[in-house]
Amino acid sequence: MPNHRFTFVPHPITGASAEVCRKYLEGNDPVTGKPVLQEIIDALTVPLSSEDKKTGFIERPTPRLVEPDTVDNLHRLFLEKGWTDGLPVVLPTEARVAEMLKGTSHETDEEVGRMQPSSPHELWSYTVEKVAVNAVMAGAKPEYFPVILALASTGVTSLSTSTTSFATMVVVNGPVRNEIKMNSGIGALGPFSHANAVIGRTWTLMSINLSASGKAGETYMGSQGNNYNYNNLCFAENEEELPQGWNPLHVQKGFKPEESTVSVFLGWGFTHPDQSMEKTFHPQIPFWLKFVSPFSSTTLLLDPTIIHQMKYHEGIDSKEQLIEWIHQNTKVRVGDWLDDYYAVQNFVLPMGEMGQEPIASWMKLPKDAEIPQFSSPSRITVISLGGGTNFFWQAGDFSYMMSASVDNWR
Amino acid sequence: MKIKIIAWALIIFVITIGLAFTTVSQAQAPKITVFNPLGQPPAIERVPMASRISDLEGKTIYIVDIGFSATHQLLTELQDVLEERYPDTTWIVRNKIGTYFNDDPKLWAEIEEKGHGMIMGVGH
Repeated sequence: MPNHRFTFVPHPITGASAEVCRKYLEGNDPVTGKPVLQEIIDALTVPLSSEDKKTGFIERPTPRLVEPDTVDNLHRLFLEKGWTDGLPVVLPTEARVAEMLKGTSHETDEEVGRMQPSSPHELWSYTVEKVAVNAVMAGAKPEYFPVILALASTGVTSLSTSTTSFATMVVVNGPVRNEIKMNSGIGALGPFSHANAVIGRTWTLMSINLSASGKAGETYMGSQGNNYNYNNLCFAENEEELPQGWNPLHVQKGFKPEESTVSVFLGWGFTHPDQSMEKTFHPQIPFWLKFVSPFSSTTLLLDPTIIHQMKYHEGIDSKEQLIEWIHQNTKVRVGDWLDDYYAVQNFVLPMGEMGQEPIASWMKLPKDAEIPQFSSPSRITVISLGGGTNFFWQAGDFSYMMSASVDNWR
Repeated sequence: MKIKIIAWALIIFVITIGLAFTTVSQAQAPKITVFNPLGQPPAIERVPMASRISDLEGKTIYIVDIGFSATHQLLTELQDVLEERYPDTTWIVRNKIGTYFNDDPKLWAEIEEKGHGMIMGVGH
């Protein structure tokens, strides 16, 4: 809204000293070039214009088609308009989009969902046809389309804006994994599967185009950015290697084994623990999870070799048993929790000050007391992934957000 | 010398023909129709802004901190600098309750009752 009375000061503000703050305030707005203090006083005292008093609605229709042009010019246009991820795209011609739409029985004009760059932003809506357009651009095949529609139906952007630089992850479960040849084995997180690569990429193109996410400096403020955003850690869970009692993710979330789903996660990154193979595995996990903020959740990507080791040699009979054990045994000192974590101070402690439990009680504990690093077992996810070439795993700070049915979009 | 002139003439001829072909091929490149990939933004509802005060004399202005981490200093400094420049105005800094995702109806009611204006610090 151009008429709204905003005044900007330079970045960063976080932790700025009184001297720096005064310099910002006595300086100029970096956006308008005008003195900050004068803009503040004007915002308070300058009478409203007739434009400021207007009511009603401003419609912003999106044209269905782009003006006809040559292939080269259209590629240039898509790049210049910011409709891509910076890599070459497949132009969404009428024929290609029509072919993509054969991948679902749904009507082209059906609304699939609504998406926004973050909760304060406006929600854009999109139809089956618009999702197909972005799927074509990413290089998807029609058989991937129900998975992509399910992903779009979550309404979760892959370019969530924050001054931190979020990453997202999508895990595919159920029969569709094998129908479209998704990789859950050797190199599942690498560039070795067309379906993994392209479905993940489509998520980012959809986020850019269907929700206005990812406009750096406007709707995306991640200071460093995140390379995972190119295809968003898109993979299938290795269900075939799960031993009895260890349920796939979608079954844990209430779906039937024969159903196909997508599950989406939000976090920042993964690390590769340098775990001793001379010791039992699960007791070493709390040590390696120290890097995760107590504000966050954690997701473990366990190679099937590790899962089999835990099942057959360490007495861990299910994911739930492992999760409960991690919850009980991964702790943080109250003093560290109170003093050392930006996100805890920003988002957790204010809730405790409002009386939310168990945060309020934890804040009253002695500084050397210990509390669970992850506030509930639901903040811990375990996924089977990898080709069994060795006993390795990855640990990340990803939070489970939601799952959606793929079958509903066939 | 003659050979040199002929050679240069040939080079210029080849370049000219090449450019001509490029221009022709660009002009003749077929145009295609593609879809616009953008979703549908919602209509913007225009909400009239709150009325403004004509001057600051004797007024009370709230400066509200929404809780963006470690930025309170900016707002207390703003209070200081405004007090120096506008001593006849009361400048009050208040923290909004909770994180910056929580609403604070009590604070809004207080500002409506006791204040003449508000400056809100929004971390971004």
